[in-house]
Amino acid sequence: MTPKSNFFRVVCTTVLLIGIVVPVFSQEEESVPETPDQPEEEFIPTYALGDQLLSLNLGMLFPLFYSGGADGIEDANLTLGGTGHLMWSSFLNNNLAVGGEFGGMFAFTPNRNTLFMIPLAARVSYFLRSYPFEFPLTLAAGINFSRFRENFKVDPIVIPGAGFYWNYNTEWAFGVDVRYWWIPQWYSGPEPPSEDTRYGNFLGTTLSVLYRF
Amino acid sequence: MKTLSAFLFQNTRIHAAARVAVVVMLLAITGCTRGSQGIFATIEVEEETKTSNLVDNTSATALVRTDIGGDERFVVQAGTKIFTRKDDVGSEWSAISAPSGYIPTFLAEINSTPSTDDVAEEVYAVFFDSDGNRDYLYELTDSSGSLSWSRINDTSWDPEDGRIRGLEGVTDRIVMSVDSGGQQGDDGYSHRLYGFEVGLTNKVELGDFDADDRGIRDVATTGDGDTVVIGDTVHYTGNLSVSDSLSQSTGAIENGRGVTAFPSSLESEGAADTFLLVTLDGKLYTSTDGGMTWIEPDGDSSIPDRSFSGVAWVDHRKLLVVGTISYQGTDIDGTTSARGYYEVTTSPGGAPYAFDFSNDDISDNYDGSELATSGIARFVYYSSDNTLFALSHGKGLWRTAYEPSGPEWFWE
Repeated sequence: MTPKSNFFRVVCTTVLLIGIVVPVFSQEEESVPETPDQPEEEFIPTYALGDQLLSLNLGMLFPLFYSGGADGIEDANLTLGGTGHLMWSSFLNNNLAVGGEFGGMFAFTPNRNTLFMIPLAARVSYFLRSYPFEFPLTLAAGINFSRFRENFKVDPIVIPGAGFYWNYNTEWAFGVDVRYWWIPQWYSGPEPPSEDTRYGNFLGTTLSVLYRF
Repeated sequence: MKTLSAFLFQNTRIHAAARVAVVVMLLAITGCTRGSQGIFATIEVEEETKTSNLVDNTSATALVRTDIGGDERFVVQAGTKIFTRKDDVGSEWSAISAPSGYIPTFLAEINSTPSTDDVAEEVYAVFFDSDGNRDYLYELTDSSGSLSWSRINDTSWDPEDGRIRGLEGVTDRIVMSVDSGGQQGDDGYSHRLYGFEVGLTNKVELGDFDADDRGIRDVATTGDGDTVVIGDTVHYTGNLSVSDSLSQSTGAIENGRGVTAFPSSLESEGAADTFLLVTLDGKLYTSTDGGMTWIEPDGDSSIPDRSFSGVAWVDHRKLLVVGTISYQGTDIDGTTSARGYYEVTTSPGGAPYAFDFSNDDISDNYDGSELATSGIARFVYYSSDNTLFALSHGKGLWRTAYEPSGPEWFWE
């Protein structure tokens, strides 16, 4: 993997993110003239049982390290990757929400082979607030589908994370999410051998668009 | 909003979601797995493979080393072309122009003496003329500093009008299987084994080749001239140092795909020369009587889920390398997938040998490479400089020096 190709992938991923996120902002900006005379809305978000939110997240995935091998902790040996996920939650009370998420990531090995992973997880979120900002603390757990060359594996996955959101209005909020992917990849042999068991560690940072309804 | 929430949180939905959650967690716990390598473990050790300019998404089917043209060089048949490069670090591959409209089908080398010299004096290739639906034998020549092909035109020789089904070099002899006289079952149809020596001398018919067989798969010879020629279902054996004939073995092993000879250094005192045969069934067989009879190794040393193809003896490491290919056909039960190659070790001590297979942790460079999951149809080993070539199915040509520290494969 040459530095030039790494840079190219980073640029492509960034352009992709901007291409998706900017129109969302743009649509909001375009809707402003429709209510030009409305007084600026001030609110402190409060939620009740059943209030819901959707969020779209796109960003970078930093492959960190593997543990569990004979040599201990080893570099993840992947390029900076891309990631994204779609999340739905429903509030149980003003601070606690439960839901689910579906996402994906990709990253490249030194020989330009691509690792794909698709997590599908249940999620619980606890919201801290300081108007106009919100700070969700999240914990997701579920299964992760991994594909690499001809290999495929379904593993458990645990994703703790934290977010920082700015409330634009009662429906929309924008922010960033930081999430840690922990993937225990267990093998029992004979093929793949049990010696190939590893614990994958990744860090995802995403720009987020959140919609409440 | 509250109405919607009441709808979403009805008990039946919660129960359905719980059931889905249980199923997916069971999937994770049971570890639905496909593939032969741990994903993170493979990525962890992957190293960047160095490459050259040879086309890398095609099959390499034959390789020779020669000094035709004044420099030592390699010549490889890859896909529908034949390429060459000098045996220098940094030399790049270039195509040798084929006769117009012809496609190469076989490539083989020959020397004037049955020596262990790795550099061949003469190189021959078979080209197929699709318009005329026939094969022609050509010799590689040096004309004014550039390599070209010269057609062998000998109408007095029977193979001239036949279809060449296999062409292999065994030190001082080219052997080829040729059918002629139309289709199998026609009056006058024949499938024969021919041979010749350097300078197209001693052109002889070595024997009848089985009419049902698709042609030569591989050949091997020992230092004293014992030779084995294998087809799909037949073997021919004899000593080409003392006789211009090969006879059909009565103990042929079906689905043989590769054969090699053990060097004398591994033999027990006074033991006969040993051949080793690999099959599509994932088995090894040995022969200590010049290929007439074959013995399965001691112990559980075959790999039933693999199809073996190429095999070579790596003298510097005193081990065998056995390539796997993916196979789906009627010759064996079920289907198999390719997984690079196995290192196979054994000990001196005569027949039956016992073998140990391994293809985990061959080297970090290998384990994370495309070669580790590719089919390998053939190996070519040059003992003079401990260089091993792997001729892959669909992944081009690979080269390494087979050092004790492990191979560092280079993708040609």
